[in-house]
Amino acid sequence: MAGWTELRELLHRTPKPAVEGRHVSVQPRRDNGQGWPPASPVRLSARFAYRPPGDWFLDHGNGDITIEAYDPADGPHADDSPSGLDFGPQFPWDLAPSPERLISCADSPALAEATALAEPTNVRHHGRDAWAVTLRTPSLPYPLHVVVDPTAGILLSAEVEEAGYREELSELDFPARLPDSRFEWNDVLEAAEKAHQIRRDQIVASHGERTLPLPAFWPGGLDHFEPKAFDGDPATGLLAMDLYNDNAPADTPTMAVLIRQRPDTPFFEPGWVADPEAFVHHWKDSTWQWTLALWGRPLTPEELERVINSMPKG
Amino acid sequence: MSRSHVRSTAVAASAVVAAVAGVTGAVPVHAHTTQYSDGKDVGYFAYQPLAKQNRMVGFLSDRPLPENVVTPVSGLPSSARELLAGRSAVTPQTDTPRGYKLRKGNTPTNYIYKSADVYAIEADCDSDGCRPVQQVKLAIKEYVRGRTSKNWEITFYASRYSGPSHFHMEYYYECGVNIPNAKDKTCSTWKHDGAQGHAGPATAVNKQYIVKNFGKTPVVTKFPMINLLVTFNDGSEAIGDDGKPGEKFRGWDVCVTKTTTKLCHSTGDGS
Repeated sequence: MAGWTELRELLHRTPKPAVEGRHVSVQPRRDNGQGWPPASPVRLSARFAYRPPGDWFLDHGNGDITIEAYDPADGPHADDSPSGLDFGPQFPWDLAPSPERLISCADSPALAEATALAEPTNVRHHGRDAWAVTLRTPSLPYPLHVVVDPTAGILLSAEVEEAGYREELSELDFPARLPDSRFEWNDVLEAAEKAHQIRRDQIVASHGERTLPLPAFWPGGLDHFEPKAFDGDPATGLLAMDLYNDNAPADTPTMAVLIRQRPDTPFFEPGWVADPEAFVHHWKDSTWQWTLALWGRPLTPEELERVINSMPKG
Repeated sequence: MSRSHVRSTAVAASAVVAAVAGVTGAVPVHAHTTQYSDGKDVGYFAYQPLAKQNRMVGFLSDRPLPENVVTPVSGLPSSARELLAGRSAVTPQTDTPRGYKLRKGNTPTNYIYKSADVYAIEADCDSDGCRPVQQVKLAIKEYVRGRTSKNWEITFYASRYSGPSHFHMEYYYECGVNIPNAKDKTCSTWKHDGAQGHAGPATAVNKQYIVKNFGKTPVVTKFPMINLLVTFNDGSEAIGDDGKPGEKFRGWDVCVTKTTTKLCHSTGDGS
């Protein structure tokens, strides 16, 4: 049986293999400290490809792509976020889950300082043999559960159950090589980008302010409303709208996005709506599922009820 | 009465004056040459405005000129004084491409930066000072869509502050890459990663916004650049602090990681 010390050594194994797969993360959202709004975790899913030492491709969905072709000539990175599996003082809101945190985690301070709370146990994780171990680390107030892939020398998952945080890898494949073209901007990506832009432009063009489904009530009044659609899908009725983002009256949310989508479909959370620091309200009417994302503060229960009741019917 | 001298050749003197955009009206120029002991002919021209002779000047400032008050020339921005003196403004030393600078402003959220107001001012000046003829209030807003998105929206603000309500505005857009300890680059010349390159000049109106993809590369700092070019009611232009038409707004730095995009905690300002 492997001990935690041996498993940690496996995470230092280099070079890492090239790997493709899916990264899924769950983070809790901030509330007002009194359990309001009700819990609504941020769930993100991305297809990824990684080629050592530093090439990445991520498809986050909805046309959001990340490509990094590592070039030492680029000089020092401007990134101010920690690399590898790490946890900041505002955990669980101040981290950005990513497959890199699980794959390139050898230098993680959280793991370097961790001690096992029990012996690792052998598990199967999405079809792969792995070791699960529960750790205590100074940077976390709760136990950290990790699953180590001893063959690849990577983490398959990390979870702090008490904090509602989890990220994991699945659908993994370890190809012998990944071509350069996988990490380059190309005509296929360019065409997909243009298609998304055209769809967004069509949404904006087809929804003038008068045709947007907007509440007739808003805290602080409607004078600062400058609503506009910015994303959606005409085929499904999906519609994402900025209500305003400028000159909000004092003590009102500083940004607001309203999203309409078909009921019982995964929450559509574009842009900062998926920031755990955003406050999010959900409700359904007879036709649609609604999401109202706010920055600064949530609506009170009374305000939310008035907003919902002021929405156009049908 | 202001008096200034520009060292140049006599032949080029009139061309220099003619090339100084933003100043209209008759400008008396007296050119002569002086022979130095080393035998070199050095030409001078002297600019000496006639008393009470009016000159129109278009410039940009972080504060408007007061109405119904004569503002002494010493109270104008240095770039406006340079224009009045018949000199081309000195191009400011900036790290951003082509002299874009942060125009103060604030970041009310992690995703929004709004510049301070800047005023495009056409003023009627004489030896006593300047009076505003037309003033247009300008600003930009940078709205980063955030999280996994690599888009930002830039909104242009332009409204009458005083004088005629009619003016024309155009915008020019560019995307910048903040390179640590080095001269910045533009997104489209830095990497081929889908970043949309420069756009414009194109007509712009108040509260118009553009949506641009700033590229798919993570672990980098990007910023938008917008030049707002104002043409006043009489057809003259507002000249920026680099001696060229328009106000060059540098946006707030945007920190891009693999899965998160938001405004950086601090920003370069182009200086």
